[in-house]
Amino acid sequence: MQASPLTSAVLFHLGPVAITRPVVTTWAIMLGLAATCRAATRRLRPRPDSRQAVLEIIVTGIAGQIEDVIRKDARPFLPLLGTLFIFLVTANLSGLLPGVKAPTATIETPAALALIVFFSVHYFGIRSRGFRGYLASFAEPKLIMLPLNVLSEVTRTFSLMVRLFGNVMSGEFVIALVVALAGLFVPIPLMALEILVGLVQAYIFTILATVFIGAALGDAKAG
Amino acid sequence: MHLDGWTIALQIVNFAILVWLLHRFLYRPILSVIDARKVGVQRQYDDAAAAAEKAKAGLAAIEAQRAGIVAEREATLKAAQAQAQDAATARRTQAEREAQALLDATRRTLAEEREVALDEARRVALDLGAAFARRLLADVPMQLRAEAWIQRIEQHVNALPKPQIDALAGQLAGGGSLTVVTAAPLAPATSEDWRGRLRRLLGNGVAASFEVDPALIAGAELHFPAAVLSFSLRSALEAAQSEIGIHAHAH
Repeated sequence: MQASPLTSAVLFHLGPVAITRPVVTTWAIMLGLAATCRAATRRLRPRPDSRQAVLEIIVTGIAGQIEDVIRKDARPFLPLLGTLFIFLVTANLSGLLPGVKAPTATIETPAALALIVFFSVHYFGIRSRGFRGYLASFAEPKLIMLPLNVLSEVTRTFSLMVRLFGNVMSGEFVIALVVALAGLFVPIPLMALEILVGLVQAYIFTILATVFIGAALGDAKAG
Repeated sequence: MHLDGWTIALQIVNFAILVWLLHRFLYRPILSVIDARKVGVQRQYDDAAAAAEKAKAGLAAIEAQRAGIVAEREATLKAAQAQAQDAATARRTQAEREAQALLDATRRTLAEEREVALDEARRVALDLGAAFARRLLADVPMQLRAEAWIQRIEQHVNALPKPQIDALAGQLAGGGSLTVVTAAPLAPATSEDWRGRLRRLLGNGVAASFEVDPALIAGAELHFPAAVLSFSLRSALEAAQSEIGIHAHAH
């Protein structure tokens, strides 16, 4: 019996490691995405068909969004940010499937993604500016801003996590409550809204991560 | 709220693996085919640009060739015009020369014909004059004509210098004979009178004989062995003819 709806249910253990439902769901998502991409990109041709055209639109669209924000070549950042967006879209919308709970509706998955963004920002910032230059950027525009900048690094990462978790989790709670109270088909409009929320939250999370990385690179301002 | 550290760690690993998987199966193939397409498009652009450059170069070559053809045509036309002008000038010069030659020849012919006509007219005039003279003399009595002729001879001989008279007399002194040719026969008395008067002129040893030559028209001639003194109208006409340039014509 689950003690709290906010707690991840442990499905089984691998030695000392407890394998929770979000992890298993994530594995399924990974498997599905990998298999889909593998199948979709098996026979690519210079003259694309409709399937290949959709894939190219997705990839070039994400790359275009990244370039619009960071004003640099998007390719070094495409694997991280593109995967972040695709995974978030898939994970957020997976909660609409019967019997499936979105991994992002539990706090561990947004926390993991926020940590990845947090460390990626510092990685790309140090790689772009150098260690000293990146550290010096925390004292900009004035030295007095150093504590606030350091604090903002933590708080914005925390806000990333909480925003994603809160929106997805609350949407699922609302749908579950409406299903429990009103019946099977009543929450359909809410589920449609949840699709929109899932897409928007994926976009917001990815764009904010892009903005943070762009700011760390030094050529873009965080919004 | 409880945060499961193992779940967070597993999700981080899962996401890292997903990044690798999508990079392997999505981004890299898609970006590769896009890059290949860009390379192909760029190659087509380059080929098109090269073709355009080649076409431009070909056009420039054709323009240059056309300009050369125009220049060559101009030069050919100019040369043809010069050649035609030279030929026309040569033909005109030749025609002018031939016309001048024809004109000269015509002028010469006209001059010759005019000269011949003039000679003929003069000859006719002289003949007519001679005929008139013969007719008029025929009306004069022979004795008067003979007297006139001998007086003429006497005036001429008397006017000669002495050495010439001696030379003429010397021709007769060595047995030479003096022949007196008259246009009409003299009467015997007149002949005797002439012999006497000739002896007085040329010396007593002169033996004159008389002959008649109607071609003399009028007057007489003294035929010495080495000289002839002519006092005839024929000789006067011949002198007149030579003076006015009439060539001698055989009658």
